Amino acid sequence: MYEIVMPRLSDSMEEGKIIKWKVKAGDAVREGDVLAEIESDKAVMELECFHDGRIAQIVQGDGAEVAVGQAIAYMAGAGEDAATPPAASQQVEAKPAAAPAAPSPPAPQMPAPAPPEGRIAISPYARKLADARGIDYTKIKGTGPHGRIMAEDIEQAVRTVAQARTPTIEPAPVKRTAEVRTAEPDMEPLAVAIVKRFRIDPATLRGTGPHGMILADDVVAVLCARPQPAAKPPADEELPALEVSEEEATVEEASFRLKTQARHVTAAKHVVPHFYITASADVTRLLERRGELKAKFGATVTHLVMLASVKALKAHPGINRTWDRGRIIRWKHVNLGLAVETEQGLTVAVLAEAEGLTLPEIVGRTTDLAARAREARLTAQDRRHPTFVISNLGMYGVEEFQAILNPPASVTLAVASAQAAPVIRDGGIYVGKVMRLTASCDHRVIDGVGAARFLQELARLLENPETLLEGAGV
Amino acid sequence: MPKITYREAINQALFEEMHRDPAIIVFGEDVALYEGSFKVTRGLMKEFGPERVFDTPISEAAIVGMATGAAIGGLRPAAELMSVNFALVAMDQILNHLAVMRYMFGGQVVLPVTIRMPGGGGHQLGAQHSHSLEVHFVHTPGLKVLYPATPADAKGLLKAALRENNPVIFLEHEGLYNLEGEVPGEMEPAQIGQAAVLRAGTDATIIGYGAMTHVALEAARTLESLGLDAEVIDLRSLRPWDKPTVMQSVARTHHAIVVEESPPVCGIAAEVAVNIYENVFDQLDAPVERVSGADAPMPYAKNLEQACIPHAEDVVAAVRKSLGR
Amino acid sequence: MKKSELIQVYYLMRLARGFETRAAEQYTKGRIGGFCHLYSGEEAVAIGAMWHLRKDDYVIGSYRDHAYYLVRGGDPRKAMAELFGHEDGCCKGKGGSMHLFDPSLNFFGGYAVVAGECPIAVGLAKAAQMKKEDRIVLCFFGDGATNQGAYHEALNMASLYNLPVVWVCENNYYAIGTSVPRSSAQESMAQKARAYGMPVHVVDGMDFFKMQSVAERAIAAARANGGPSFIEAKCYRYRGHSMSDPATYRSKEEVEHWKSRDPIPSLKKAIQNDFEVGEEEFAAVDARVTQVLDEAVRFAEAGHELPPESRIDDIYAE
Repeated sequence: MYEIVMPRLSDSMEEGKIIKWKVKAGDAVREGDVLAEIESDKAVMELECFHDGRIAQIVQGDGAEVAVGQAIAYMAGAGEDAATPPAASQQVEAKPAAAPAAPSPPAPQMPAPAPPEGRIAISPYARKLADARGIDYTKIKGTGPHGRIMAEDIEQAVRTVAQARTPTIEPAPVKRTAEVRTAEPDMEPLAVAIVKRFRIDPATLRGTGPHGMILADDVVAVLCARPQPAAKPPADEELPALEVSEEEATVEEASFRLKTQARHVTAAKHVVPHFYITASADVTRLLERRGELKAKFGATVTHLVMLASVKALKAHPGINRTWDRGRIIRWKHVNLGLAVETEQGLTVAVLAEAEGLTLPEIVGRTTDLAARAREARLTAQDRRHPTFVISNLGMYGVEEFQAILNPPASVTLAVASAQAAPVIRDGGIYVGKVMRLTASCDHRVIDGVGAARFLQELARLLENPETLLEGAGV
Repeated sequence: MPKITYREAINQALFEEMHRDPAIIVFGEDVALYEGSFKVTRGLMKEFGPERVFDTPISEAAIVGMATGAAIGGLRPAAELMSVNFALVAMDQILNHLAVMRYMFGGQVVLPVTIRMPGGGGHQLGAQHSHSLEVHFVHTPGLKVLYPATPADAKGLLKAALRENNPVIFLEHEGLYNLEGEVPGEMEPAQIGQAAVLRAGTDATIIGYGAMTHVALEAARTLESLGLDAEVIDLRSLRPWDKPTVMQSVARTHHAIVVEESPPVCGIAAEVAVNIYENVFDQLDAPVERVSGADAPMPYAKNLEQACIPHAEDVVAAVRKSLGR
Repeated sequence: MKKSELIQVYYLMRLARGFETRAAEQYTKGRIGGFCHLYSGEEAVAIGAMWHLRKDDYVIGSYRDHAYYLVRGGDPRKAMAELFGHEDGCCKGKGGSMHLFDPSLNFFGGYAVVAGECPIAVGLAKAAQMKKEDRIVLCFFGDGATNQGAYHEALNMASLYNLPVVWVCENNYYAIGTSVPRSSAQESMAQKARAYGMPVHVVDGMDFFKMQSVAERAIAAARANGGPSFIEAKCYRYRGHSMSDPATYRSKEEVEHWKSRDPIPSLKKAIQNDFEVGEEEFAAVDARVTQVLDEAVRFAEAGHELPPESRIDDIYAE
């Protein structure tokens, strides 16, 4: 017995409606005959007979809606008895059409970048770092877009934690020893990661772990020695707050400039490992020519020291460098910074590209700079990147002093007054004028030997005016 | 090592491979007598004869279909479409025949077809002549897509394409034809699916291809003077593309910037970015930055056109934005 | 022609016709999915065109390809299994009804894009020509294809390069529901092809004898380096464009008219005229066809699809 089913007349058809049967039980049919008209989801189509035979039974009548694949009639093939219908088949309920799927909600708009209440925005990498270093990132304010916490914020937190732990801020200067490391010391993995990330010179690390192993704390300690960016809270706020009564004093808010300066100078003192080295120069003969030089070119001792510094720097270019976060900056020019006294206080004016200037040029440009400084007309260019700074307090009879460094210069030269002093020369003692020059040096990029050699050259120039003034347009 | 142009490198690859394999034939519009509208096929007809190197009418669909049929018939066709813009006329034959036939016919056919097409903008050729259509080919299973940025890679990758037993879309950038570079005289075919790290760095990874590789390198030089150290990866192969190299790099630098000449929507940069998120999400310190061409048809006016194509400063800005510096 | 040959022709016609009927039945039972385009009525075109082919000639055609495959010598079991989407189909179930393909028969598909096969035919012929093989390419397409850009590109190129292609246009007068007068400014397919400078033939596609005679000439010319030629075979498909098409755009009278010219009874009559062939011989052939088709359906029903993991196999070759 051959089962005639509701045909699938199109790809999308799931059920059909029998419009009209063209045959009835008992009819003989041949391949190709039209058995019925069926309405599909697309059109009314003919139900084709695929085999020769005889209709045994019509199961679903005209008008019936039947799911595709369900029997609608039975047919006996050649040799079969059409009279006996197959085992009683129930009227199959037409499958109800599936409810149309609810349209999926439109994709939510994607702009709102701010995290919803209670969620903290943190970059995946920063979160990893926080976990590794035991930092509770929920306490951290992010500096990334929309307040996102970035890796640098975690690093900063690590540094702050390390700072809080070590009360004395100035680390001992790392001495260069003759001993050569034959093997790389062990480093714990996080230390390795931080060294790589911040390009720290492993030679500067001292391991405090077992068998000299370098711990992350040791690396962090070196990180702390780096200059802090200006955005960090001012170090002077770390001193205990002062309670002052009206009877004791008047209090005024410092100007923005002063506050900035205070921050910078605190940071310089705080962060840069200073060492101080003093040399004396017998400037007797130089001062003998002072009158003439002043009359002809308006040159002062300061100008002469500037000229000497430039020449000495040419001979010792290693001084004209700056340490910056593990990189060495070799300046292409000598930018002489000069501490200038103004009404608002001391300011450093920069004589850019001073190498190769003649003495008259030095005088001219410095005078102009100083004038502008006093009139508060210094431009950003006038302050930019001093590579060597000179501070002259000689006019005040100061015997010797140590200046605080003015980054990015790695040396600030404190020039004191030329004092009368006994001088031994040519086997005799006589009264000469001796000037003490104290160089404050950044020990990260300048060592004692280098500084000493530089000062030696500087003193030599100051002691030998002919050499000093050679080629200086005098 | 000899220095030759990108154009000469492609020409060399064709010469060498056609000598090596007599089944390779080259055809397209003006490739034989005229020696190529970009002179890439110079000397080929003279060397190999008009049977193996011949001109076709302006019939992109038939050019590609002929390549497909000839491949079934046992040849290794290297067809040229005069520019990727004209590939659009043949897209049915490329995407709906060449790409699918091996699969559709149950693996019963091998189609060693290479279709070369120059593309890219920047020469005031207008909207219909300046497309970067690589994304349409890269999107399609059944194709392989290559896009060299240097003369050495142009030669190496074309050699590989001509030896490949699958359909290869070989994209060239019109602006690079005169670029000179060192190319070894004797050369093995390059590896398809392998990127090149052109500059090692630690602060950020810049990923590019084609002409944008050179924009990325220029950006890296500028960044160096700003104290930022960028790693530059040239993808070279767009389908398949070298995920391991990219992921390893971004895992180290934590910052990824992808440069493409095409408009951004659903582009190569989007594909690379999503894969970065899927593979190295926990190493990212910032979202992936895309530097793409403008989301507009290419204008004619010189300044407008230049404003629609990424330049080094755009990449520098994107790197700095990612780093927050 | 010899009697045995004609009996063979009759067998192929009954096989092709019967296969299409079985396909229709299986489609309505839901065993075949997607689109199913049936060749019923056009058998004389395929058989006549291919009758004088050599085994090493190339055949390529459109999606109405079951008959091409079978007449070329394809196995009805593998065809039916392919229609069922099963792994032992000729294309592992990856192609389906529109994409039958078998390189061992030099039958290269089976394409769904109208006229998409024409540029590929050019390539096949180009390879044959370059390799100095004297094989020819038979390319089947319909009246609708003659308005496609790629078709014109292909005809132009084949003529330009003097390629050995025989273009066979099955003009069954309708492209789905659009008749030739409603779609073609130039209603003569042959005239359009003549513009490319090749010999053209117009033939009654319901008549096997005429069809094979014209094809013989075209094939011989192509093989003798005479370049391409064009055959417009006027024929009719008894069913709709596909199983989803009730073909209401054709009148019952028109269909009946063409059914009166059914190639199978015509052939039977011609055989009976020329030779002493009794009904029982024809019945024997019919029974054989039924047996073969029953076997094909059984084979297909017993098979199964490839596992889902194989969905990314066979994209690229090594």
